[in-house]
Amino acid sequence: MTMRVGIAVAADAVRAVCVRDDHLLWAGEAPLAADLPLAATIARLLQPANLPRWPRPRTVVAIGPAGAQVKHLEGLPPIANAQSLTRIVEENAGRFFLRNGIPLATTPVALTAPGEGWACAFEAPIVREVAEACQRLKLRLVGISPAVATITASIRSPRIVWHDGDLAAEVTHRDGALEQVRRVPIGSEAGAATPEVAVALAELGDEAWRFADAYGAAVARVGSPLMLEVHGIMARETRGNPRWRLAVAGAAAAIGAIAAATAPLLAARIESASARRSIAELAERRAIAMRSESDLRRVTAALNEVAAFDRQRRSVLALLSDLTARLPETSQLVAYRVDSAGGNVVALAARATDVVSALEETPGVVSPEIVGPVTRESIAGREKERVTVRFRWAPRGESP
Amino acid sequence: MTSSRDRRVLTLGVVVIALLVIGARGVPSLLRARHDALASAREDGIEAERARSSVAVAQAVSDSLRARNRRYLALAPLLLDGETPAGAASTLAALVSGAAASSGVRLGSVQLQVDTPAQGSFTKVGMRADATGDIDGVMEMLAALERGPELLVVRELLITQPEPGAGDDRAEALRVEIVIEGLTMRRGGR
Repeated sequence: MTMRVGIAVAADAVRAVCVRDDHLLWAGEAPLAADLPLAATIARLLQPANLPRWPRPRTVVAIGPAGAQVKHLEGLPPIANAQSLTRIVEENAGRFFLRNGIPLATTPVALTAPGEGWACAFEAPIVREVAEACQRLKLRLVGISPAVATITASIRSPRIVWHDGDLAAEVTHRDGALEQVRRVPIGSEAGAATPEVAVALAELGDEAWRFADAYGAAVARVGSPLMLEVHGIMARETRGNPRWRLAVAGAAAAIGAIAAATAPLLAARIESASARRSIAELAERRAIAMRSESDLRRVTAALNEVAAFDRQRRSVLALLSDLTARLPETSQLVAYRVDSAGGNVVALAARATDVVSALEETPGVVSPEIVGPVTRESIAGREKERVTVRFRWAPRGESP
Repeated sequence: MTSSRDRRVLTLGVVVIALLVIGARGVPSLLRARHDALASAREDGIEAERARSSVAVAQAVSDSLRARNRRYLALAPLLLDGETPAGAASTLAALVSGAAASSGVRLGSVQLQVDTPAQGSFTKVGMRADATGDIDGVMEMLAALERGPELLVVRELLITQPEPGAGDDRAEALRVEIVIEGLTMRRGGR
């Protein structure tokens, strides 16, 4: 299993433990000197621990009450969405925690009820220093927790008074779940028995409880309540130094803009080239096809011309035969005239209406009507009526 | 002496001016080129699609053309022979004269007409004629013209009986005026 490292940053000292499979491998403590940065102190402290380079040790850092304020927050909006509450606390950290001019980094809110929950605010410079130190030492920093939370995993007593420099915090917990955290005056635990620590930690002897914060950090799981996870830390870190990211983003935006501007142009050219290739490949067959189409149009037009000419044909002979067959025996045709619109006949008949009737019955003829006067004449001793009847051709399809 | 801040400002200024120049000159050119390329691609695409369509229907067109060519060749007997429209009109006159002669109809004046259209494959040739004959002869002549192999259209026909009261002992003499048209192949100029 991967080695786990727990680092506890207190007001006056830094402690560290290395654990593998719940066995304590190493523990150490170094005082914090005013002239030595925190990162250097951590590096110097961990030097004798012989940490493996691979896999990189999984590390959780616990920060003591001097640098981490833990509060049960009330008065938040009565919502049960921990993410929303976390965002609210992060954006209004100064309203919930003492700032004292120092930027704060807040943890996710551990909900206890809608609108209520535990949250912690670390001093951001400490967080940054811790993150830098872990980066330099090739430690895989997974999170930062307040010491008052990590000690609950190391000390079995339900009530713990924890010292950090000139501060003391009283922690009440039940099976590791915080119930109360409050600051108490120094010395309020005078006379109390030594806290009962976890079995693995007990190997360190009487002073084992002093490493409870570091050991608790080492065995803390990712996502434990009040843990500021590493991506949150890195996000805060990047805010202060975004230049290379800005450069990458700018370059990406420029490349994107150039691509957006030129991609349609290139796509159009590729499409155009492909179309021209197709046209070239089909050119010969297309020329033949177009010649055929042109020839077909010409031949069709010629056929249509002949068909149209043929449609104009009307058999004048058939009309004359039909008409003479229908006229009474005693009648005579004097004149018969047809043209493209119709025609007229001049006839001598016993009665003029016989001629009109004959024309009405003749196929291909419509609207026969008498034009001009009907006169009586004596032909070979018989009285006959001379009549002129005009008619029109029936539209195509009406005549049988 | 210039500080690093001055240098940064100078660099930034140069970059901004360069960007402005590129933006002012390059962007319109790029937009124009893009527009032209898109239009060209669209036109090429349409042309390629037309080519593909033409090729796709080529076989069907070829089959139709073959069939219509056969029908076109079958038109030959319907048309009036003649190297020129006037020649075809003479053929028409000969046809009418032949029909009249074989029907016992006496042909009078003949007037040939040639219609020269601006376009088309055929030319209409016509003829106006006077004739005299009995009813049987006139009917036979008309039948010969209408049913003959050539495609002829009687445009106008006037048959008159000048003496409707004449007795049966006199020969019937109907006067006929006819306008008849046929088609001939238009040669040249198509």
